[in-house]
Amino acid sequence: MKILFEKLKNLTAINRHNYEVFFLDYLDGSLSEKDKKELKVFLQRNPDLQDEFEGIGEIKLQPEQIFYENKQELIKKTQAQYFEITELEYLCIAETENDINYEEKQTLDDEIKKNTVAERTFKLFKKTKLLPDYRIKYSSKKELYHKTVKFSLLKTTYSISAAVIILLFLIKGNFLFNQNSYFKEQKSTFAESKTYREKAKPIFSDDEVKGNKKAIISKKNKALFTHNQTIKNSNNNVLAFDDNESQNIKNFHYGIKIPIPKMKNETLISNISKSIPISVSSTPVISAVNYQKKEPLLDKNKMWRYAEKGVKIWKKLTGDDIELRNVYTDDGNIEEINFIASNFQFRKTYAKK
Amino acid sequence: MTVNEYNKSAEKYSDHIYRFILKNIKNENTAKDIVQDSFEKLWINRKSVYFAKVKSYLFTTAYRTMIDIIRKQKRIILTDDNAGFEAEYESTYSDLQEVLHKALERLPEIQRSVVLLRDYEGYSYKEIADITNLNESQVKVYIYRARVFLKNYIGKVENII
Repeated sequence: MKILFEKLKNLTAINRHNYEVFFLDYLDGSLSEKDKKELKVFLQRNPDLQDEFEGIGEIKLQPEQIFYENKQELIKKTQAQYFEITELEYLCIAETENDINYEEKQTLDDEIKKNTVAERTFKLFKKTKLLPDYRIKYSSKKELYHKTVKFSLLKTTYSISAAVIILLFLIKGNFLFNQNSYFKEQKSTFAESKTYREKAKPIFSDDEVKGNKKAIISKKNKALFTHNQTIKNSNNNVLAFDDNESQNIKNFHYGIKIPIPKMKNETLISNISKSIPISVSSTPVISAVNYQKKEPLLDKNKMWRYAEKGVKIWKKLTGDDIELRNVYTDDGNIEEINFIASNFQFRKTYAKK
Repeated sequence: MTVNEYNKSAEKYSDHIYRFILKNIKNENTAKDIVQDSFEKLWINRKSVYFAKVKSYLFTTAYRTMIDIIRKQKRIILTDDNAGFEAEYESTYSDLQEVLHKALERLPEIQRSVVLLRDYEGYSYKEIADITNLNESQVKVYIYRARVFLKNYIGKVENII
């Protein structure tokens, strides 16, 4: 609408059809000096419109004196005002603290250039950096140290025992406790063994001559001895076997018996003496039997006690959260093993024999 | 953290902690107790403290222990009020650092702590805030006000000298 008025006003000079537009523009103060003169001439020529012109001025609203009371709350403080220091102090400290931005740095540099007081202030602030007093030392430092692992023979033995036992335990947890299954599967040797050589006394069932080392085999009972005949102990456990068993085994003299030395169940016979060719006319002489008597390194309970001590020492020295806790039966055998570490826990229970 | 790392921490940081505490409270025995206490706590919690963070852990522990002791002993009132303080300016200083350390003693407790952490240890505002349990803005305010105090102090001493 206003644009339309503007066009109307520009197209024509003031007259009785468009004078309201000129009156309103006069009231708004947007009338040019030329139009103001035209308006004045127009009012002189049309005095009946004088009252209307003066009345227009009265409809303009005058602003009331109302103020926003919380204006101060809207005003943001500068950093300096926030810190309750001067602007110069803020800039100097910001530079000293390496906490200044580009604009602030420019302002400070300008201030220092034109103002010697600012320069002196800045230099003083630069001096406020404290340096550590290296003369001050903590004299009781040794009391703070904690002992690291110190190797002694006993402690090392315990620790190694613990490590080995735990390792074996994890690999094959029941190897110490189920001996039958162990011997059935075991093919390697023990860590420690002794080889014994014992004189053999072959005894033939039919033609036994007590006290006579020589035995007679009848012609019809051919036999071929090779080394490592299959031999069983009294419990019928295989103690030695022939890995190169003769094809003539069918001719084996079934009555032959080789007395097995009185050995504990850890005993394993490895071989017999060299193969002995037997002929019908000769008398077999088995001069000796070689066997290996196997003995465990340590008593199993003793081993676990070593392991327990080793773990305790390791825990004390390193502070690691490991624990080997065994439960013993009344007769001193291990019933349950608990290996407890910070990351995992392992428990194994063994049936009582 | 391993035992070796713990021992390295004791070797490396015990002087720092002791210096920081002693500068805050002018009592050698109490400062030593706080150092021992801080390292004892570190030893107990060594498994949950990374070696890279051990310095901050020690300063935090030592600072908070110190604050507890101060509050119990009521030797120093924790305030940030410099108003009305009239410093005595001596004229027997041998160097600027001596002047500054004298001025340091006159700072309010909290300002002294944050300035020491800033200047002695080079900690950021954030790190200081973590140690002192303040926010970064508070730390910055305390440091700026402390600098103004130190500047005014050494300025007046320079005038005397």
